[in-house]
Amino acid sequence: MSNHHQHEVVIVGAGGAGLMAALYASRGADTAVISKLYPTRSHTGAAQGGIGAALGNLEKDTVEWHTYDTVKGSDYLGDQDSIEFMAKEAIPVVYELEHMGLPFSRTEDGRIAQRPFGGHMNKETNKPVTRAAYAADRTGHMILQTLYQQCVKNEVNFYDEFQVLDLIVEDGKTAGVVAVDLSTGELHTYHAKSVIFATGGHGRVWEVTSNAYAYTGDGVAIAARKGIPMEDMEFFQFHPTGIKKLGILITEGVRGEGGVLINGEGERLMDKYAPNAKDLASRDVVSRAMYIEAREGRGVNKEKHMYLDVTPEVVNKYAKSDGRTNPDGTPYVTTAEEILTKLPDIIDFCRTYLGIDPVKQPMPVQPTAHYAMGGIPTNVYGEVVIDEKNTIMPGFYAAGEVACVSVHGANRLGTNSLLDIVVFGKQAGKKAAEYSKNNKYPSFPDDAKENTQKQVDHILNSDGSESAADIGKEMKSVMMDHVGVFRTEEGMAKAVEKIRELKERYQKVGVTDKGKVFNTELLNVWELGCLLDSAEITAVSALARKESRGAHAREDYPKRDDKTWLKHTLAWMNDDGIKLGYKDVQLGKYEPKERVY
Amino acid sequence: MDISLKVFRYNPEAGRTKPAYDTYLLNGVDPTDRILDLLEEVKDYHDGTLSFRRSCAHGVCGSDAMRINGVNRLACKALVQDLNSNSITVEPILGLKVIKDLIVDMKPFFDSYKSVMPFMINDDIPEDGKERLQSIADRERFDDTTKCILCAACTTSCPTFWSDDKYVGPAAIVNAHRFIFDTRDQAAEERLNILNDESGVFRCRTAFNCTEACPREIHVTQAVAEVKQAIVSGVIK
Amino acid sequence: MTTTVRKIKKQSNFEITSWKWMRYSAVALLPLVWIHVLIKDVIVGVHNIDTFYVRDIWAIWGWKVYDILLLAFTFAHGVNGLRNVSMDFFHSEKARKIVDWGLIVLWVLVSGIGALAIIAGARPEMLV
Repeated sequence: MSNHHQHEVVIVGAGGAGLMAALYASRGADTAVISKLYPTRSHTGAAQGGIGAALGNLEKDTVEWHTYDTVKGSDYLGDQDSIEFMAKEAIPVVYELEHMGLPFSRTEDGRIAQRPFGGHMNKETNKPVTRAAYAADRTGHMILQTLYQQCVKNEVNFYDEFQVLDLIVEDGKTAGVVAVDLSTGELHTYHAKSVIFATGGHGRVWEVTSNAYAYTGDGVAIAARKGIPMEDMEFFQFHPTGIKKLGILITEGVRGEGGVLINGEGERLMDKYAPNAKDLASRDVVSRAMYIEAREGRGVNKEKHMYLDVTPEVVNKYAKSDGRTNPDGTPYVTTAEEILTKLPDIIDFCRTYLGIDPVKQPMPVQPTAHYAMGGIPTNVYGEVVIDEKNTIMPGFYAAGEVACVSVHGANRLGTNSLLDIVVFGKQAGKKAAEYSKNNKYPSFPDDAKENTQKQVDHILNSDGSESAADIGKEMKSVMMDHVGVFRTEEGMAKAVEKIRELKERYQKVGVTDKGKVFNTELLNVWELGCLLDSAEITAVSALARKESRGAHAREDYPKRDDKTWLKHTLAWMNDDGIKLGYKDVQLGKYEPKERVY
Repeated sequence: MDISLKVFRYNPEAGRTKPAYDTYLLNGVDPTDRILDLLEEVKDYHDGTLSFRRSCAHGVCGSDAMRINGVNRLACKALVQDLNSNSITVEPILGLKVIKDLIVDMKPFFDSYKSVMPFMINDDIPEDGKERLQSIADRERFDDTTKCILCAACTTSCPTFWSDDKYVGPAAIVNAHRFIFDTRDQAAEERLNILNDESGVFRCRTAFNCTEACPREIHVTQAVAEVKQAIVSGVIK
Repeated sequence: MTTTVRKIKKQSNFEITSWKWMRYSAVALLPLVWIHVLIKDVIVGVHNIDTFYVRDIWAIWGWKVYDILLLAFTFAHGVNGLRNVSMDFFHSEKARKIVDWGLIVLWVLVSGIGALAIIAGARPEMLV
């Protein structure tokens, strides 16, 4: 195999967004997918609870309600035109997944089953609405498998276990990427008309995270190093319910099925913080509530975690006091058996990692770093926009968690991430194919590999006086402590300083493995560089934003400040550090108002 | 607690052309640590050249299937306390070519998977553009086999596969089963036609290793038997 | 809750037939073997079996047929099992074909000679 390839569309990343883009791009253009993991290993597969769409299979629901909930969830930072676009596209795209063969759970009348999720409300009853279409608690797994199956069917080209290390830009136009074949260590160049980044997030920046080892912010770092700004990076979601210490995700679907958060004193804590939506308030609200409870000494055994209780007795007790009903109006009553059918994987995780049975005992949970709302700025067609005026960069697309459309604003609602990847993956794939039909191949530089080779050689030839593992640990710890659920000026300033120090020390990290075949040590060190870049952009963006909004909660500025801060952050990374700029939020019919759940 | 971790090593590129074992003494191991945590510890602080695959670290991505104390498991789903032993041996899964340390060549495995047409075939879409209907019972019928994460723990524990790599193996059959028993699919006959020859289901000798190895607790041998039954009887139920 | 039952065209090839053969022959073998064991080991007893006994039994055509069937079925069952095991060691189509034919020849040969012997019967007077 030659080490130089030419494909009209090159997609980097093979999770939900990448595969959806691949399906659409390959219909109109010669397409290749490059992925550092086998596609079915992608982190989409870890998503559990559901995909949001106002299908209305169990009760009345509308696109407008979905739009409003998402706008409100975003703390009014989401672009309303994009959000409406996504909520509208949600319905056909979920049906499309079903047509592709996705094994959704079913209702009594054979339709796609739906369950309530945090922040999704019925505007008539003012109670949580059943909007999350699901396949048990394996919705992400099913989406990933189904999309991969369709790619196999359509004979999409895959370069599995190839790590993309650089984006090639020639005269302002996207010209391709450089990747290393992990199995041989050889560098490969890809000449392309359009490149789609669907590389996922950077949750591994934090100590306690639900994210995979592979979630190292590669896309963010590669693009930022090419002078592309990152949007709203200060907004990173902490999911309220990760398994204590491990951070493994316990789906919000548990609370959708009636699970309740209980503090160390045996009280249902959300009564105080969200009197109406209670445990199904949006994630930032619940995470903060848990954090405050723990800080005030009401954690379980005075520790940092709370209990998430889904035992039938507790569920039924609180369902009764909340007046929760089934769609037909009868009181909501569940059984251990029903919980087992609806949440089989959660039960399995708890048995494996905690040795407890969730239908008999409560689960110890704490907030866990979960999802990047920010990332590479795009419009609704996945086209990357590179400044305050939304100027499009020709041939460059991004979709999924690495992208910031922005539909999630300051806080993403549960089920909107799976929706995001399929809706915008599809748009990016279509647009990239269309662009490649209408444009010639841009010229491809002869020295395309040089920048990458330099990076690799630098690591291989470093004296290795610093340890990658230590730097990684220090980064995770400082980000967890100071750029986590609650933030202060002092803490974030400390974090920025620390990250810069770590970046200096990173230059001296070396590797003991000098081989070419599956040099995973070299790969890990390179990924750490991406994490440090992601961390720096996040911390600097956060330090500058002097207000509290969504996931960005500052103790020194506890209020939202729409007058000054109703705007998106843009952060450019250059040699002297991070340069910040801002751009307007697309408002619409929903005027910003106080956010109460 | 202290653990003695014995790891299979092989790296021809660095002169380790003969398979051998390295043993690492790890102190202060928590009984609830995953085997993956131990491997990470070794890679971070003992020997950076040790190579293995991993990603999600909680048993849903299927990257880190390996032989742990002789049994195929996911390194991220096996806890130290589950093994009831202070000495732990980690080796690559069997039947696929070892490339480096715990990393094996997965290509033949995915080729087998692709050979059974693992995708829905049905172009009839309801006129209203909405979902096809399916009863709860019909959806439940193939639920077990939708759980597969393609980790290869089953196929590489199968004695038939060890001796004959032409055998499609349990994982491919599980993925065929997922479609054969889905009432929405229209290509059951073709799939069964692929599986009815001498590289197909009839090579299964019901050793049950696959069922024991599956980290997702899929009843693999049962799925294989149901496929055999469908072939012989011509009835899918 | 019941699931939908679907019918497809029944398929047929050598592997299916051979797989079925293993099951059907096993079922046929059950009475054949058990009756054999019952009579020879329990009712008659192994120590009472000598060439005179065999001569008397094989004088009856019914028993001749029974024993020929027993031999042919057990041996075919065994040979088919052997064929399955052989696939672990012979991977090319050609090698497998040779093994298959070899086993068939073996079966025909052994069953044929056995049947011939049974039909010919035992003549203990020749030994005396």
